[in-house]
Amino acid sequence: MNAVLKVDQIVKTYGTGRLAVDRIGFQVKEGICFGLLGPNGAGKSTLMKIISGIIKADQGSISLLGQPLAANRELIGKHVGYVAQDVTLYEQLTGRQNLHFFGKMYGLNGSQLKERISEVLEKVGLTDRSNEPVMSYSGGMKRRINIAAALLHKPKLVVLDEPTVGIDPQSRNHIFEMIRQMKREGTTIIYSTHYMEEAEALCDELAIIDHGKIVAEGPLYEVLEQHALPAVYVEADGWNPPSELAAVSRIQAQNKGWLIEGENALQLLHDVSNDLLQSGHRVRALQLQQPSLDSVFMKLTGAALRDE
Amino acid sequence: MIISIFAKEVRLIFKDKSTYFWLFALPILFIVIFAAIFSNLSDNQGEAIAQIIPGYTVMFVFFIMISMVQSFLRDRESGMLARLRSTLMPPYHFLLGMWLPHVLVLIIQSTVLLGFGYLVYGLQLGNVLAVIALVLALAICATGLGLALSMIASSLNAAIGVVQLIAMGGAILGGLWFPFEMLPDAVQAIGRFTPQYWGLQGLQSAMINGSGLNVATVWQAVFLLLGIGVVGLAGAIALFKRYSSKGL
Repeated sequence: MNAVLKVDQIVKTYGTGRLAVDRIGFQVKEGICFGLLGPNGAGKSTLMKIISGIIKADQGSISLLGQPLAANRELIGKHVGYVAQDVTLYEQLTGRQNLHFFGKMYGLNGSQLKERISEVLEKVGLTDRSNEPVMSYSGGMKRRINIAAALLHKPKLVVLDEPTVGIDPQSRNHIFEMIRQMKREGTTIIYSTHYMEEAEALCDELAIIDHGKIVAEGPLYEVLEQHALPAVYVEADGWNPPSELAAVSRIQAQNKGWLIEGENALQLLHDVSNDLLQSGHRVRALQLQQPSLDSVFMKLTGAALRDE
Repeated sequence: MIISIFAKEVRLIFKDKSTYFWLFALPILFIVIFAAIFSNLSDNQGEAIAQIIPGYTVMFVFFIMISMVQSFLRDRESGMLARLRSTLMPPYHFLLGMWLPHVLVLIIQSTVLLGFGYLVYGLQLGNVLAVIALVLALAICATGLGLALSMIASSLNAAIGVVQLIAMGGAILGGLWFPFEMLPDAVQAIGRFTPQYWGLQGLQSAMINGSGLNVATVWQAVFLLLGIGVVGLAGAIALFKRYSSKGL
């Protein structure tokens, strides 16, 4: 697969001297969903704004569809659809009027614009409500029309910055389906989120960013394999993990029980079961846990609060 | 794209119900109240009307600056401006598309207020072409200043303070509330530097029936108002980068 986007050694420092992006580089293949994960202030939004031509990088280069992105507004305007973290629509105007406005800004006119408005409204499931002011929409509807505005010009790359914050499960599910459909149609997606289960459900490849640097990158399964171990979760009255358990990498208290990580999950399960049988403790839960992105994320970025 | 931004902004302005109050209802209320008061005080009702109606028209024109600042802050703070930078829209289309609707609003406002004076109080419009030229020049002057202020205002409250100073201060010094000749010499000397003074002098020269059109005063007023407007617009263009960089 060809790389739609190549990001090479991008550096961005803000006026306050804060280094937001520190020599980040990655490639995004055509037709995949690429996840950008990281805590608040990690540099995700800055990077997405650089890719969308909203702000300029201090150093480094980006190429889109094989062409350098720097100062090429036409390349960005034609092929990139950017969806900001906040809903950016005119609340007093109707959904259709907003789409008409954005369509014009993407250079669409006449019957082509009308057709595209109808198509994206259908895609986001808002055809029936399109003539009502956006201010009367629910949070989920606003998010969906916000995405629709970025799809009018059939972009090859869609940049979605936390598109599901604060919405109902139905709207979230609808957005997921839209993203899967876009992928099937060959559209490439960059998706930023705080929700690891979203990244696991949608992203083919991902990069975890912290303090402006990539701390893990690659296909989802590779990142999981590289940074996480399978584990056994045990919840038993009065039971503590014995020190002589073999091949254990890490033991940590979790909820009302223990999470025991090790290279060989079956061996671990066997040893723990034997110990529980011998000690006679009442077992409330005993289960194998697959490596989760959530645990990898916490392991790589730490548990310290990020209030930036 | 300028036309699309213009159309969107006009739609937003006139969808806001408070627009009708600030642009039309409040100025008309002022005109009615002060016309009633000064017509009783003055022996010559025509003179009072020729002072009050153009005077309040000129005064209220400058309040458009608040609405302009509000629109520009809205688009920057909501992230709209940043989002538009990822489209094909050239930045100067945004500036022009946001500015021109406010020029149109002032043309409509001045037409309504002067038309109200003509229909209700029999205000003499005199040379209509000259009045149109002055209204256009006034609109460009006020919106040019408004555009420049929009580029530097960091909050609406701060901008309202500046607009009050320009609109009310200019109204007092420029002779919009009382005939200019009645003002003390020192105030008159300062007043001649205000756009409000030239706006009123120009309109009165174009309107006063019987005395003939004072072409020189009208042209002087038109050029001075346009000059101030152009300086404001040039300042806004120079400051646009500063304005837009704050929203990123």
